[in-house]
Amino acid sequence: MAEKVLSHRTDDVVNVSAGPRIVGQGAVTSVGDTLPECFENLLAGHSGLTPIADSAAQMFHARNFYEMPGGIESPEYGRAGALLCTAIAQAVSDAGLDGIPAGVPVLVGTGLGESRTAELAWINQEQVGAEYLTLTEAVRREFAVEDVTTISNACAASLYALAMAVDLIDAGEAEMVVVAGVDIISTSMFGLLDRVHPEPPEQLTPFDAGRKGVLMGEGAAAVIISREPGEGVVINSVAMGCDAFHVTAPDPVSMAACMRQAHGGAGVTPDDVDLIVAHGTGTILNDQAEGEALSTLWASGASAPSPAVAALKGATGHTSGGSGLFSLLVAAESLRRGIIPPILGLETPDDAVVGLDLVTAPRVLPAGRVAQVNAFGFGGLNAVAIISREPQC
Amino acid sequence: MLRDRELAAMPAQSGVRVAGASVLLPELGILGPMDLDSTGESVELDFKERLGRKGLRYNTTATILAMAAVTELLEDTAAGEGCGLVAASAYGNYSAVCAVAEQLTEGGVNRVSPMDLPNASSNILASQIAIRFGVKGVCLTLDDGLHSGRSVLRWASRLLASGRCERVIAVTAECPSEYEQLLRGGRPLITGAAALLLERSDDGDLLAAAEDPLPEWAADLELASLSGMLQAVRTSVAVPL
Repeated sequence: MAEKVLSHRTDDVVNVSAGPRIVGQGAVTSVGDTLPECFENLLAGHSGLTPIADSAAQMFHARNFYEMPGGIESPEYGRAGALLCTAIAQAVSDAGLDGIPAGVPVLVGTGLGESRTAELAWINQEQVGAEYLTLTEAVRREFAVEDVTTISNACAASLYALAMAVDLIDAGEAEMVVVAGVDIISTSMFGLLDRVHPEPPEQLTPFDAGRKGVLMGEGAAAVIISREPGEGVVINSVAMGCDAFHVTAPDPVSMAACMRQAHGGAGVTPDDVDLIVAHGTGTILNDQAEGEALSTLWASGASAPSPAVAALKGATGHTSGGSGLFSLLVAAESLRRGIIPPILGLETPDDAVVGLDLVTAPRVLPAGRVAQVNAFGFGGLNAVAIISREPQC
Repeated sequence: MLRDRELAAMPAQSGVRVAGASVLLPELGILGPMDLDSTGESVELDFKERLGRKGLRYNTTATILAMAAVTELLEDTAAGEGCGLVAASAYGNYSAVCAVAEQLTEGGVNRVSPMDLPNASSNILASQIAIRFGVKGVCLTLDDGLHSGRSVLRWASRLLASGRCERVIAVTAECPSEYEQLLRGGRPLITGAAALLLERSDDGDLLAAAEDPLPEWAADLELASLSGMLQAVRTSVAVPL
């Protein structure tokens, strides 16, 4: 059932800056094997939460996570690369291409890369070779392309990759760029996160007052952007920053500065933003800092009323390096289809987000034009993208 | 470390000027950019003196080597406004990842130390450098395996060309371990770090410099993310270029 109709903006004209257009997209997560399937399941409130299989569960306190079929029990090497290539192949097909055209750069964002392959190989005491330890080579092998770069920027990685892709197009170095993000669950990262949780979370509950922490998820997202004019969703700007503050404690002032930088690059003000897809990891620190940062721009006392704020990780788990791009594809789909999926697991909003308009049930967005997407990562990495429907160019 | 004065004779390269360079290859006895032509006796570096006790705690050797190289590069001053960072280590955190996975397999969560959490993330090296030197601009970690060094130079150049950064610290580091040796095989991995301070300029070719030959000693080692970086450092300090 759709929630209230939202239209907080009074004018219909937003003179956003020009930018490359989305011409192909793909995604695979624990809530769906394609982007349309993921979107429908997000709208329906379905969760990808699964019990950890017995053979792996004995290692952890947590009982659940958001893995893809096979997941942590899979003995296969190169699983992250395979998932990544699935999402890229979907985007290539969606763009009506037979493959990645010669000379088109590919930028991959990831937090953990092929860490799981390294773990398995070490446990098995087997050599896998250097070419199976980086996602770059997986993409080169699968698509017979040369110009591939993997950006290993933790949970902000795929939006960092998108920012670099936009720069390539702005500089005239490329007409078209493939951008993708991926992460699968590694036992080392899942186990270490499990170790620092005072109490294991049963599920991920973004911005909830009673949240207990993050649970990892698996997924990949891919997008093809092109400078060729046309209809569709445009990437207006992607801002990148670094707190230089603390490896695991985010800084709300730097987050807000990154948002303002993205608005400046896109030529929009907070009042122009119709939808925010937040990072919302369900950790005490991220959700408080992100809530404070958003509140400085939109909540009570700020110049603009809060737009609709969504977050996806209650359904997908934290898909780490792939999560920023997946959030962006869902934001784009919400602008196209005029409906926003709800935040799964949110019951009592944290004090840090009380002034924000959190989406707790599917929400109609009839005249949505501009969306903001946040991704923040370990090491104080911040990335914020502004996208819009119907470019003014 | 070499600063502007020593590098003044060198032409600008690929829209990029090399404003400083440092190299630490302690096991080869190479402790500066001018030493790259030949190897010497292995040197044990006193990292506590170079970085202080706090700089060493819970960090991997690759991160410590990279921090020491950037300390030489910047003379322990802050990076300042408009400075970005592009970093790589092809195998720097595999020790932490594999060791923790082994501990989990053997004894579960209670066997692992929460202090290993940062080292399980492959951008730990860049994160620690950003914090230590106050890099608040773009902070990129690249993972292109054995091609990571050239990727670092390429993307550092692009960050300058796009105007995202006024200066960029490019740094890569490697440290051998039983883990990376088993996983990848091949020649033994080099121990060390290289760092360049890059600024915007009008012409030249930094990426061509990364393809210049290295002396014979390099042929016996897997340079990994230092491949391309060491060539760029060596060419940068050759006068005239």
